[in-house]
Amino acid sequence: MPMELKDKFPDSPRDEAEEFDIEPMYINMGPSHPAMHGTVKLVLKLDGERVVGADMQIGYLHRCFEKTVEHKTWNQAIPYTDRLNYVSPLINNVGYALAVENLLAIEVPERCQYIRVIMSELSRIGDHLTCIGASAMELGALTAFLYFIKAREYTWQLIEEVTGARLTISYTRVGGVVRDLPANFEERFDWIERQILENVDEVRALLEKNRIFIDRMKGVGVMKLDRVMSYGMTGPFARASGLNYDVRKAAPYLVYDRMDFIVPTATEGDNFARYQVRIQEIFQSLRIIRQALKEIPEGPIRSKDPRVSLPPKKEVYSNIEALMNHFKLLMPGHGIRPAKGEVYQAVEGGNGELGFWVISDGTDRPYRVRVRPPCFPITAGVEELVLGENLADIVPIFGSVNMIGGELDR
Amino acid sequence: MRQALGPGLTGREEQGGREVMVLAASALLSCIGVLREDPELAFEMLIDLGGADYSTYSDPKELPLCVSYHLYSPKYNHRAWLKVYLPVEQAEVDSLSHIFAGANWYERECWDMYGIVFRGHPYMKRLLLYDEFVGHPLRKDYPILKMQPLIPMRNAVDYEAVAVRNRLDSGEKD
Repeated sequence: MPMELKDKFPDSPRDEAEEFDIEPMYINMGPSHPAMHGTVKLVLKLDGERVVGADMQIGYLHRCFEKTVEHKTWNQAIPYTDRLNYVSPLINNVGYALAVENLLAIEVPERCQYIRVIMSELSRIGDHLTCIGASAMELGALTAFLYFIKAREYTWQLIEEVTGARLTISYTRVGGVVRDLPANFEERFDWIERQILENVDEVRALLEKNRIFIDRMKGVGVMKLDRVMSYGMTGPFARASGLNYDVRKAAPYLVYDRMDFIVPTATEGDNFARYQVRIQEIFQSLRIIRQALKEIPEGPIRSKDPRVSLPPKKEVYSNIEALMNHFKLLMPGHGIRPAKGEVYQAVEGGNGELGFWVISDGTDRPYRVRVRPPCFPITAGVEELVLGENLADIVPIFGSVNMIGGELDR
Repeated sequence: MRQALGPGLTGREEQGGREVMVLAASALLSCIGVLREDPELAFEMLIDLGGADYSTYSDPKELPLCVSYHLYSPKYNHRAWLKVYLPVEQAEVDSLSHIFAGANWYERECWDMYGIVFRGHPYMKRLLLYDEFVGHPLRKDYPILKMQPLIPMRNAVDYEAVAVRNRLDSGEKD
């Protein structure tokens, strides 16, 4: 623990000042502040450097996602889901597609399920690398940031080779994915995995023995387990406080039940524990991808179900049923039409449980799509998390929260 | 679980292979309390809370507004999906923010989007939209292309806004 100022200077005027009635100071942190990435505003009440009150204001990135998709067809909503968590868009795509497939009671082919797992984990690695890199940078460790952005660049290159885009990928469709993995995917992944491991090792050597980093992270921003549960927090943030909850284990989807991985947890619940959980999750994600690549079967990547998939072009030109099917899927007012009903589908996003509550009215458009954004309860908890901390500590705390404006404000 | 809920349970729905318990709005607080405190249920986490408006649904409901709750029990790895249906006029339900800290923001969002009032909520203020916004946009009677009135430019130092200042000065956590 750093030495208290008054221990060092016993006659420090600080003590005397406490006798006076000092006016608290109010400041706005954000919405455009370099450490408030994702555009939020934190109104703070300060006593000297200590935070005694905080009011978090969000909504700067509200884009009417939920209202908009009520007026789009089921597949047209997928590009909008990219923009929810723009750091790991693949997981959003997968979650939404799974929810609609559940409504339709469709099981996608096994190869497609494996591809979705591989791509989700690749996204998760990118998400964690960004989160750790950015919060290290805010503490002055620019080298760590550059290494991790380099490593993330490799994952994005791989994603680009598969999907054709880097960020707004729209890779899934209801009933499948758009493209198969390229032929050299495994070879490329081996190389990228080595690069990522090398980068992570270098960054860990730089950060974990660094006095400044440790002092700023350890014991700062502690969230106790009971508060984590009261807020309903999930993901790496909650696991760092000892909540052993991961949707991939608790309610397995796709082929996660066959995957051999552990859910890293910690008990301290401070910034450093969250950093460590994220680092360990990168290793686990790499492990899942390696196993999935070993087990992935050959086969189709899209469901053959005529309710969601277009028939092959050759069939469309040669027989009437396929032609009708083609038009039924493409004409306005027809298309994909799940039966009346509702589904709540949860997947493990980069920040925790990402839920899609989808209601169908039996038409070609969703009646209601609600997103349960993983960082929403965590960001709500920031008001409590920063109380009693120093103003400067808000930066590493907020970095470890990994707030993503796109999914928070929708 | 059905026994634990008692007379508060007014109906059941089958949605996507899961059972949805429909609760009476008046019995919500006591039912959630039971689910949380009963050691054999231990639903200690509120995972999600969201609204919906069924007023144009082809399968009309008597009470068109709905709030859905997802509870999770870390101890038993159980999930519960609960719903409360509310009328359009006087859409009011008890707030859970004294039981679950996370309900605070979810309920603010729900008020913002659907105009559902949560009784006993400590800070019922719009969350995603701005205070001068007219209407509740996710309701089905709100047209997607509706324009909002222009509002005067605000002072950038909005910590002077009365509500925020009062909240910070009251010193208590919600």
